[in-house]
Amino acid sequence: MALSLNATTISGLAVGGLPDGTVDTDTLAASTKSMLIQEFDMWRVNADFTASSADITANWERADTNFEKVGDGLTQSSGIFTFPSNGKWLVGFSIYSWNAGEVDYIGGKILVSNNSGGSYDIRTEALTSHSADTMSANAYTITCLDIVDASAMPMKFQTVAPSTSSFNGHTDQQRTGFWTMKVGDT
Amino acid sequence: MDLQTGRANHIEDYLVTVRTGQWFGWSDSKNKVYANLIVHDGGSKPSEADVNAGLKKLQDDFDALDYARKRAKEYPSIADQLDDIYHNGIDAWKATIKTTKDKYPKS
Repeated sequence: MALSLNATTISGLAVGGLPDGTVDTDTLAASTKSMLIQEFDMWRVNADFTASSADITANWERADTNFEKVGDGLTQSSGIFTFPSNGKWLVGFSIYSWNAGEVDYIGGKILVSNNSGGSYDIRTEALTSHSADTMSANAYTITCLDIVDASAMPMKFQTVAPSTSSFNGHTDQQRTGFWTMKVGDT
Repeated sequence: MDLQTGRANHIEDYLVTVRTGQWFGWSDSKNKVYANLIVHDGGSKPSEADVNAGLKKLQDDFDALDYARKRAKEYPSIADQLDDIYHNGIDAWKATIKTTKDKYPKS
């Protein structure tokens, strides 16, 4: 069959083992869609708090200003986050501290459980130096998690500081919070 | 809190000084007023008067140290001050420092 090309279809593809047939716009659209991001979610803490090194358990909210999740999104209870499906997930976590002049550093950790929350392991940690002259400080860290059993591998976040420090939450800005994106299958 | 100056400008700045941890939150995080303040830890909720007074004290304390912040920005570096003492002596160094102190007197 001769190759036929018009505004919506390419017909007659039968070269080198390619199946003979018709590639129409629906096929192309479905194929393209499968290449788009399937899951993207973003959460943040919406109130200030003080802590040294502790789990961030309260005041989490899904980002809701100029943002809407892609896909199913994560579920959350008391700061414990559950992925909606198995796969490789990029996670980026930022933590914002201010008026913490008494401490030398602040930071944050991303932790994941491999036993349904029985215990958690640190998967990444970021610290930033802080001095008496520093008004505010921000630490940011990123990791990729291979979630092979989403229900048994919840994730949580912790603050890091040598003594009690102030951390900033915001309801319109991503100051202390994280984003996550599924980048592939497990 | 004002990010540029560090001056308290919201009751949240006072609330974090009341107790440690994530003891409070907001029933409407888009409207952080006293009426929407909620308590997570089972402890007492400070009165609105206490919260407002607490914020005002933070602001007053901050404002009272305005002279000190301005002086700190204008003092020569420690290295330069040591160099000044070495080359010109204590009296000359004190005169240099006094220039800034006089420019921003304690209020």
